[in-house]
Amino acid sequence: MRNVRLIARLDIKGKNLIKGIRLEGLRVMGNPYEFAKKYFDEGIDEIFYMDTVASLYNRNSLNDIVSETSKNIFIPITVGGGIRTVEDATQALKSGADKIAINTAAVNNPELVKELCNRFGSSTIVISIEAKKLNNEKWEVYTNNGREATGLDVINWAIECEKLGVGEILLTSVDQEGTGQGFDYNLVSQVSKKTNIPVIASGGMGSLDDFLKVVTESNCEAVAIADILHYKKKDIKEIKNFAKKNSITVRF
Amino acid sequence: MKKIVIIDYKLGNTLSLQRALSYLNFKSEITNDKKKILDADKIILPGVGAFPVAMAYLESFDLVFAIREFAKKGNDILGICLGMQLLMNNSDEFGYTKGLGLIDGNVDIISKNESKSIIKLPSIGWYELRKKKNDLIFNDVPLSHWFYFVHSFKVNCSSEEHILAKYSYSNIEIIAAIRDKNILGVQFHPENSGKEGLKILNNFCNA
Repeated sequence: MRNVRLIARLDIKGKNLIKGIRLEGLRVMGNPYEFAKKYFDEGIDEIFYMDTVASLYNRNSLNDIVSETSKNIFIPITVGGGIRTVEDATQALKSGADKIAINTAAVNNPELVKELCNRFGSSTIVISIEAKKLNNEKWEVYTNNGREATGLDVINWAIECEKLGVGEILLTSVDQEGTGQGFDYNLVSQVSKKTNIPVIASGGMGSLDDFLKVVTESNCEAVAIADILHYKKKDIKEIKNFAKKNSITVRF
Repeated sequence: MKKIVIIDYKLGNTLSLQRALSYLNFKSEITNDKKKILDADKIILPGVGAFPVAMAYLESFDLVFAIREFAKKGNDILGICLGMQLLMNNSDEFGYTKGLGLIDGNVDIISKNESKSIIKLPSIGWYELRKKKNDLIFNDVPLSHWFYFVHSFKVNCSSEEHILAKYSYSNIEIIAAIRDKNILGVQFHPENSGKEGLKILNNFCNA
C-alpha cells in the first residue's frame, strides 16, 4: 500500500500568509513561518510555500521565509511561484528548499522543465497545474495563480510534464480552491489515472469526508490542506486520526 | 571539534542537510575540495540528482579517488538517498554507470514487475522501517518511527549481512539502510524526517 501525505499549503504574498477564494479576494493571515512551525510541531508531513504574485511582478520574495523555515523545520519544503530560470531554482534550493514547483514558466517554456529535471533530478521538480473546469470531462490549464487561460488541456499537459521528467503533480482546482465545498474529484481521479507519478490534490477541502473521498475515490498520493488548517477548523492530529480510523495509512 | 564534510556536487538540497547539522550543533562544510575531504573526520554524500551526473561531477573534481582513499582509512562515510546509491558498484539509471564501489551491489529502478498493483514513481512519502540488524545509528530511535523517502531507483546488496533495514512500497521490499564497516547508507532523508531523523544524523556524527 501507498502511504498518504498531508501537505500544509501556505500561499504567500509579500511577507504574509494569505488565503483567498478561488485564488482571489486575498486575506492576510499572518507570519507564514509561525504557521509552518506550528504545523511541523503538530506533525504535518510537508510544507508547500506558494508565492502568489511572483509571476505577475517578476520577483521572488519567498527565499527569506524559506531560509528562516529551514533552520528549524526538518520536513520537506517545496517552493513555488516565480521560478522562471535554473538560477531561480538554484536560489530557492540554496535558501533551504527541498523541492521546486513550477507552473507559468513551464507552460511558457517546457524545455525549462526538462533542464530542471536533468539538473536537479525528477524528485526535486513538481509541476503545479491550476485547472479550471470546462465540462465534466475537460479542464483547462491556467497560469499566474488562476488569472490566465492557456488553452492547454489539463490531462494532456500532465502527461507531457511526466514525459519531461517531473516527479510530482500539484493539482489545484481553481473552481474549488478556498470554497471548502470539496475537491474536484473527477479532475484528481482523471489525472491520477492517466499519469504514473504522484498527484497532490489541492483546493476545496472543507471536511474530513472530503479528505477521505479524494484519497479513496480519486486515488491521490497526497493532499494539500490550507483554509481548514489556517482557520483552525481542524488540526493535523484530528485529520490523521480520522485517516487511520478509515484505514488510510498516514505517518504518526 | 569534528570535521564534517558534505560533498558538494552542485545538486539539490545540501543546505537543508547542513541546517540539520547546525541545529544539532555540528559544524560542517559543503565542499568539493579534495584536501578538505581527505582531512575530514566524517563525510556525507548527500541526496538528490541523477546517478551519472553525480558520478561525472565527482570524477571531474578527482573526488572518486579521494573518497576511496578516505574510506580506506576507516573513517565514516554516510550516503543519503542518491548518496547511498553512489556507494554501490554500478547503476542502471540512464544507462550503465560505475559507482564508488564501496559496498558490493548495484542500483536499478523500482521494478513494476515485482508487484501486481500499479505503482507510481518516484516513491514519495513517509514509511516505517523494518529493522534487520541493530546499528548505532538507530540509538534512541523508536522502532516505529517513520522516515521520508523520495526515489525511483533502489539499492540491491550482494550480501544480506550489509542490510540494516528495509521498507515496503506498494508491496515491494526496498532496502532502506546499509552498512559495511565504516561505510553507511540510508535511502531515506534523515534531514527531512523530523526529530527522529535528526537523531540518525546525531548518532552518525557522534560515533
